[in-house]
Amino acid sequence: MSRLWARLRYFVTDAWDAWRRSPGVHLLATATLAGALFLAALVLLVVANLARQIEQWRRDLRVHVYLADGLVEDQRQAIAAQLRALPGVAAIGYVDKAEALRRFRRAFGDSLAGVTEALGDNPLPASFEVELQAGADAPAAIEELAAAAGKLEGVEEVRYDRAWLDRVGTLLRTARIVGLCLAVPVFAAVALVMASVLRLAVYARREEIEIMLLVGATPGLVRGPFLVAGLAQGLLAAALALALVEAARRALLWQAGADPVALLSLVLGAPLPLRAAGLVAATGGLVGLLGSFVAVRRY
Amino acid sequence: MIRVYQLTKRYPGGTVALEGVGLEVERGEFVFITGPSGAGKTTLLRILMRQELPTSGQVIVNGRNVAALPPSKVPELRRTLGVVFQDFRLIGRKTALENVAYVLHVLGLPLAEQRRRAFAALRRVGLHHRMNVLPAALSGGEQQRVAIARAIVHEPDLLLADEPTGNLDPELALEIMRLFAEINARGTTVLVATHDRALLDRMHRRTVVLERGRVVGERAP
Repeated sequence: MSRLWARLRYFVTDAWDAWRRSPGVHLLATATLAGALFLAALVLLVVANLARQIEQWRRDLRVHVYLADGLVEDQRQAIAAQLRALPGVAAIGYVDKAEALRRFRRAFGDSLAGVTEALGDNPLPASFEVELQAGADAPAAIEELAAAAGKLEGVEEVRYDRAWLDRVGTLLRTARIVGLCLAVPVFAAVALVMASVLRLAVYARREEIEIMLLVGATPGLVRGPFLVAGLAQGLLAAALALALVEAARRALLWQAGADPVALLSLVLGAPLPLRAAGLVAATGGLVGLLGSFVAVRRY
Repeated sequence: MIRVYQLTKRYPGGTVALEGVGLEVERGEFVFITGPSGAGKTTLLRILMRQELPTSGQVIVNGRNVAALPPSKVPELRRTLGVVFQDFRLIGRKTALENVAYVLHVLGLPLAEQRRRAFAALRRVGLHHRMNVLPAALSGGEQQRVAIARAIVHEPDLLLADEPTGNLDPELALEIMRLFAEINARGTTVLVATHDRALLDRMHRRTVVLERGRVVGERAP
């Protein structure tokens, strides 16, 4: 164990020594990888935010059951009881006509205020907002519930926004798969570019490598410091990329001010999730390791 | 320790470096290989340490058939050797001490032991006071002594030295030869390639003479 530890320590100190003596080529390799990882992290950030938002919308999903005008209290109570009895319903809330108008005004501000006033009487219907039980938000279940609610006497119309949420969700899933399919060849190419740059570092040390082999070093011992350097460069590139993405995210939100543009807050609202950051770091380490291995494999 | 049968080395283009060379060196012997430049001394040493492969013939070093050795076994062979290269072959970014200690690192010795033994080896060649100096800041003679310290630090079974005194003044050259003799007395087989006649005359050791790639003579000690 102590021998293994000593060897690892040697790999690290030797890699650091090589980096210190020729920083240019190592920085170039790190910057190349950091650039690619920055783009990948940016895409992940947008996708993660969209996914988070869609999930939030899904959780907030309500089925709106609009009531006919002129219902008496007993009729309303009867509809409420029948709605509660439907499968998948967690809770229901009543929105009377006045509250519906208040919400309308809150949502559209002054721009459409004149419209409701021009109509005289409040034209907005009262409604029940049906909250769904966890797991009852599958498209078929909601459709069934909406159909059952629509058949109740006194119910004018049933609406829910599930369909477009599902379409966005499907689009996001497709984007993830396409992104993943593109990421593999892109990062393989980046690994090769990195290998070419690192090959310069290996070439500069070819004489030293030859000497090491002549005094009995195994190829593994010779390659070790290069692999450690590659791994470290990959992780450093990932850290740089993640820091840049977070800095860019904050800068954009800050520039948008206290009331950020809706789209901006939609795609950049939250920082990159830990799992995605871990994925970027792992990709960086792997590509760095792979690039180094390709560069030094002939020894 | 060394058995060489009908060894021939031809380079692409037809240059013949060695032709039908035969040589036997017993364990514990001290042998000089001499001859003019281009006689094949360096090629012979390079083949013994499997830096080059023979075109034909058999080379046995320390019980290993060098030509048939799989690449994975080459490091094992080299760890039993100590080699002083004609051009020193020191690692430029490592200090004198680190260069010497590297051989012990390859052998997996603990760091403290590496440093202790490397320092002792440098002291034996009179360079311990320059242990923290990089090769570029050392004179040719000093670099050669570092290379010698590296070759002896692990007390190898076989010491191969290619013109090890080429850059040293006669007194220091003799001192280094005495050091080789001392190592030899401890059991290490020593094979030195040199064209320094004065040194050969003073050392009184078995000497094999090479000329144009062939063994043309031998002198007993």
